[in-house]
Amino acid sequence: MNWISFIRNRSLMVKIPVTVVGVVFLMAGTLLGPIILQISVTEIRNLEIRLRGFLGVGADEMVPYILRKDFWAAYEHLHRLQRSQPDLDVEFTLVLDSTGRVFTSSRPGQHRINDQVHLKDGIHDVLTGDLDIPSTFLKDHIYFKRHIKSGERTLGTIIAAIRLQGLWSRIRDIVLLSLVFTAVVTLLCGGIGYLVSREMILPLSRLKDHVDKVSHGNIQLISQEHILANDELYRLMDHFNHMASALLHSKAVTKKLEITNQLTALGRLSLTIAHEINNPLGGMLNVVDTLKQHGSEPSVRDRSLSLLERGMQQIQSIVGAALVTYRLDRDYDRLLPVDLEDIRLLIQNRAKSSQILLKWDNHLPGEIDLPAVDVRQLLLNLLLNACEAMGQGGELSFSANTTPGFVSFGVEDTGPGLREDLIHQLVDGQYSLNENERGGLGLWVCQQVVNKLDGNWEINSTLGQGTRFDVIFPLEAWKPDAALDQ
Amino acid sequence: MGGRCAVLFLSIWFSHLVIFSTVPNLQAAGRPLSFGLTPVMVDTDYDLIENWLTYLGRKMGREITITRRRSYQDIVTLVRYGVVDFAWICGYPYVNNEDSLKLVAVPRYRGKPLYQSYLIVPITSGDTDLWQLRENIHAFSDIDSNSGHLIPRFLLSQLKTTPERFFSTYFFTYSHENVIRAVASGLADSGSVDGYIWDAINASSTEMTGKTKVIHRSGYYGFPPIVALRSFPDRRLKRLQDALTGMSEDPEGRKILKSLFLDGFSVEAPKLFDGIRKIKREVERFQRIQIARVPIR
Repeated sequence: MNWISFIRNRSLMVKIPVTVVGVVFLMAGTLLGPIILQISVTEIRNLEIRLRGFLGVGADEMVPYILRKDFWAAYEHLHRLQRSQPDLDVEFTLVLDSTGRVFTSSRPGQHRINDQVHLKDGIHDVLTGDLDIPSTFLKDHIYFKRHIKSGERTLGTIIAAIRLQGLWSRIRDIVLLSLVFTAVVTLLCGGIGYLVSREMILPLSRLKDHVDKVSHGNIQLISQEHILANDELYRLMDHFNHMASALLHSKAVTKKLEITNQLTALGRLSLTIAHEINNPLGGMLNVVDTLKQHGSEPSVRDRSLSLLERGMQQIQSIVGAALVTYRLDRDYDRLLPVDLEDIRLLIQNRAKSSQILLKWDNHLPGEIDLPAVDVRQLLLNLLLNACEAMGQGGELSFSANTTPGFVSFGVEDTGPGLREDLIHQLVDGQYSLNENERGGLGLWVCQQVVNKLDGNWEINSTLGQGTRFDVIFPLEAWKPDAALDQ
Repeated sequence: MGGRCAVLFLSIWFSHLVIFSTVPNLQAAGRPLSFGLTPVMVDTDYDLIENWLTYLGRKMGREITITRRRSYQDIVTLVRYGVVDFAWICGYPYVNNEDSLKLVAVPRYRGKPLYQSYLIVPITSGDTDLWQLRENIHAFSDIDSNSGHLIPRFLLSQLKTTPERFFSTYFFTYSHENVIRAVASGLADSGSVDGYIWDAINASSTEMTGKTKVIHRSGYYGFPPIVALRSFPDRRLKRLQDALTGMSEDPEGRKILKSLFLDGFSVEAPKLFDGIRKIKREVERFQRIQIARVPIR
């Protein structure tokens, strides 16, 4: 039904005035009908009452004229009678004698004296009140009659033909006037309806604009200047402002959380680095002790120096990887296979220390159009979380693959697994800040990165057997400029 | 002393002479005279009639009041009873009552004390003569009218018929003006009317007469006269006659005469109405034959 959708798609500022106009017109029309009907009935009834008087006088005065056969006096009497009631709109008055012949008429040219007249049906006797009013509606004429009596003897009949055009014309004028009046009132109501609806819809319209902005991530409060009253709509605007304020606050908190998480991750990395550095440092201190005691022996000295060099090289590579991972400048840098190798370097000692078997499967062919910093943060978080979840022993697998238009990463552990409700929260974009939960903040940060890079992830976990994260990023969707703007 | 008395007497006599010879004292002249008028003649121009009677009253030194009745018969009866002093009636009731009435004066119309009877029909009618009016609805004026009844009855008697047989219906309107209205409205197919009245109305307005046309003009007959009871005092009669006949010599009188479409009044001998007497006899003779059931058609 196109017209239904057409109506539905109109603005309230159109629908409300049109509805008001329709209702007013319908009401006026509904009222006008019975009023006009009542006026018509009353007019005809009044006409009958007046005709009763008119024909009564005519009949009484006609008696001597009929008895004397005084045609002229009868004619003059009819003329006087008609002239006395000019507003009755009498077309003619006719007097018939007792045999039904014309005695006199106000239209002698039409009704000749002594002509026989056969009365038609539909001539209402004013004394019997047999007038069927609805049958007279829109008729040109109405005929009334009254018998002329002298005592009990009927001497004749007086008949009056009344023109009704004037009556219908007056009623038509009333209808037209009413319609014009209704139209004016309706237009006024329509105008008022438009103004009222505009006034009512203005806050809704503003609210809609602001809600639209929210859906595009642009949260703006409605200016207090526009909250003009305290009715439901303006209160709704007020509630929106409360909600928007809460959203803005939440966004600020989120931002702070992100920074906090980065600092947390940095702390965790620093701990890992310190641990990684501490191992070679222990060995190197032993070498230094050896050198102190047996440094005079060339073979011991050379081996010790070699050990010191490799230990220091290990420390250098660890520090180098950390520097690359957390460079202070956040300029956009595309992901390279070597970035993944840096992560491997950072994680492999962590894995080794917990007797975790690390399987590394890096198939990145070259530069990938994704920000290296974000991907490294994501993968490092996932891998460190996996290590923490697994505790001692187990197997941690990492894979990186490309397909046309996409790049995907897989992290699979043989840890205790994730609870299903937590997985749902993660997949739905919700998160838990319960520090006791596995991942906790780390997984939430991962979710933020996946969202930022327009990616998607899938988490498959079996309690007691392990968890697998599959992350996929489209290579076209993410644009550095857009990311930087955000 | 005697000289002073003589001066006083002369001055009183002189003052009376001046008063009575120049200003008629209406109150001192006795009861008002009553003038009888019927609607058969033009009587609806109230200002004209009032001016005329005021004029005559001033000329006669007597107040004159008007007495209107519907028919000639009513007025003639009132004259005969002395209720009305003088009246303007038709020549036919005068002839009928000449044993008790005497002529005061007769109006002069178009230079003569004579007039005609007209037969009129609606302007749309194709009838051109009396014979074509058979089976018509006919309007007469007064049953005692010469022009409005006697003359057409006489004309029909010449055709060996009577109104009762000739017309399908006839009626009396008791006014020449109403005869014209009856024909103009179509209530009557034809009518008999005083020629002077038709001409007078036609001269002032053709609104009504324009709807009628004259198809027959009768011969000339004595104009409807002003009559008085035979016992009306001669001196008073003379003063009335003088007042009437003097109108054409007086500017105000001429003005009234002009409004009445008359030239003046003259004192005429009864033989002026011989024509009416003759047709009256003819009609009465014919009616007697009718009563004797002599076939006429």
